[in-house]
Amino acid sequence: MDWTKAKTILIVALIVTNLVLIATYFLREYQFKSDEKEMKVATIRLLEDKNIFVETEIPKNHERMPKLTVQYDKIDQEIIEEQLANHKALMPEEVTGDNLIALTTDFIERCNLMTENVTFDKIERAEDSIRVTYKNYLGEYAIEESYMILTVTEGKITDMKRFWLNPVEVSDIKKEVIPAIAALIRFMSESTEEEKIHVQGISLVYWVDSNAFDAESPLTDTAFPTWKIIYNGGKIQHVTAWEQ
Amino acid sequence: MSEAKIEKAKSISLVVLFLSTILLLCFFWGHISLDSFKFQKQADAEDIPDISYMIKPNQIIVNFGADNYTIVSSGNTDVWCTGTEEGCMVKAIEKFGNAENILVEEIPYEKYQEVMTFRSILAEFTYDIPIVDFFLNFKIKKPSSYDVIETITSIGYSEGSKNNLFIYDGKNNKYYRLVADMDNHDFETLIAAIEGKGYNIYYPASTYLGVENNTLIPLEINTNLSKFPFRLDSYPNQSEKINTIAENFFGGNFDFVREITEDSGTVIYMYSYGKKVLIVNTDGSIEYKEEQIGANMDKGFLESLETAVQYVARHGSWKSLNGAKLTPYLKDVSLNPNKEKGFRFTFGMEVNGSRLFYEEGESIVIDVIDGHVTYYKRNMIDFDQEDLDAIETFSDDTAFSAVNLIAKNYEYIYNIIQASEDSYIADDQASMFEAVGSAVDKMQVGYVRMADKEAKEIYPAWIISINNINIFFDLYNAEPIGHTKK
Repeated sequence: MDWTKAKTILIVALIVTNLVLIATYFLREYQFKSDEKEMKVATIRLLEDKNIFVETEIPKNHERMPKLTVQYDKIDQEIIEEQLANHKALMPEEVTGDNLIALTTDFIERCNLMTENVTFDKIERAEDSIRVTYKNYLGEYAIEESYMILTVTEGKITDMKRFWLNPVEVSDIKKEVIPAIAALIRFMSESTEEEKIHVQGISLVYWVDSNAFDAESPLTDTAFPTWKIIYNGGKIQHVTAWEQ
Repeated sequence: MSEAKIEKAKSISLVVLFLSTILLLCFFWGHISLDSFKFQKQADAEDIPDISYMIKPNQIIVNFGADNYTIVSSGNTDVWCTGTEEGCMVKAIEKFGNAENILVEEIPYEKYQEVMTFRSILAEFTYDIPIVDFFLNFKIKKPSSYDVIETITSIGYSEGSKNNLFIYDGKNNKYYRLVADMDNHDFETLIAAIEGKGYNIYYPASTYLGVENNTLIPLEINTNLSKFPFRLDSYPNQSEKINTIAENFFGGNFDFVREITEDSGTVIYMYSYGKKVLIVNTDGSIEYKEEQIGANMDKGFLESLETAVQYVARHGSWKSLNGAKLTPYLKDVSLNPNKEKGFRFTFGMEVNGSRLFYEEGESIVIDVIDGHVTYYKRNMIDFDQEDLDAIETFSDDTAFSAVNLIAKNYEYIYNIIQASEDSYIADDQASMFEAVGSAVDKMQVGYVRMADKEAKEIYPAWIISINNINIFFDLYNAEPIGHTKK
């Protein structure tokens, strides 16, 4: 066998193969992007026909995501009570947004509850109290139904409500996430609402479906990537994002 | 550039291009995990027990005449179906069926009772087997005249009526005799062979206890049953093993399974909003539930049993998860569990030919609804085969006398049965003794696994059965050790 000639042929063949692979990839991406635009327009029209109006930006496609093992975190109520009794309150003139955040952050730290996932969310003022809410984030993704709400009355923290899922393990396996428009289609097919639906937000989150199974006293659970759809002034629907 | 250098450059280019092709292919197909090429584990043929050996009588009662009995335990398959020299009951039933013009006649219970007082042999099952499936299972021809009988719960022969076979259809509570021009010599040979080999003598309870009860109780049992250590099939800290068990149930969908760990250590795997749920309990048992979907497959008894047997072989196997060998048998069958059309099969296990009883639960329970497995609970034990092999070499010892056991423990037994059924009312000890003596349904020896999670040994025991409650006593000193709950 003329090995020299064979090498030349193999080199040419591999170059051609690689060029074909690269061209196929770019062609597919281009095709996908133009298909995606058309599909988006058609989907929005279809949703409107079904009385569903999308009033928010539809997120672009996401990279593959893993599932998450979370742990139901329990708090030491004694420490909370102690901190509630002994923390330094704000003077009336000191009750500003920044100071409230500082006060509550400090409180959380003293209760040994501060982690990198604790993220300030909002301040809500009621008649005689202020509620400062913290949410749970893993990177850019919220871990749903996981919160801390601290109530501040006359500059002093008077109460803390907490339900927290600690992310303990990110799975090695990452899977494709369905596009947001596909999630909206599923939402449309599962919706039982009779009135018009105004979609005001759609985002990717991690979510544990606590309704699906009534575990007695769960210690850990699995949170899956999920599209969270907010509609009609605060109603929420979750649609599994992992493509099966 | 010299030719050598060109060739070297070409070789390097070839290697680089080859590697880049591989990388590009990985990039394209990188989302396909190797798991998608995994085939679901197929059970080897040798891992699937032969169903014809699993369907066997709970006991075979041999009457030698003059109230002289013996009971052949279910562990002895020679008498039922495997014996070659002196034959076996299945072969004798087959030979009978070859006769021409077999007449099937329903008879009253009294006549059946009367004929069985003669020298006879009777195989009793704890469930009703559809007659078609009975003959199909043992691969023997069923004469068309048998079609009037729906199920077989017991089948036997009596020298009081030599050219007959007798069948009890438990589903319809009917007794039949089958009449043919046949000498049934094979049954007589079998009875004589059992008699000739030596046997444990049994008498009716009425003979010992002076009560109205025909339950057979042994005079004396010599046995080498001994306690042995065991382990659970899986432990909560064996997370890799538990994951492997779970993967077996969910196959390619395992990535989409939600895993919940409870405070108690129980692990729950759930797929698709509870359509499939697997619970791994801390006592080593696993429980699987699946919503029944799909077309109605309407499988009969034998086909459903085959489905169940193959399912167990593929999901955990018929051995312990570590490979310890037990002999499975079909213990019970109930129809239409949870009002769904199908069967609930309960399997028991034998250890060295002796039955293994559980103070709580069963070895394997499996529901087959419309041909589809919807429920499977597995609670097997693991042990070292060497321990059991060693027991086989022990010489026999005499078990505590069955009658003296009742005499020693009648108050204890009475309290248990009275707690489960208020109909027992005894004013004094004599009444208690009579109530217990009259109520005993069965007495046998075997092994028992206690419900206590800390238990580490399997015990040899006397098992007294009364109204579906099993009460366990130490085999050699008759001390009570526990009982099943109704």
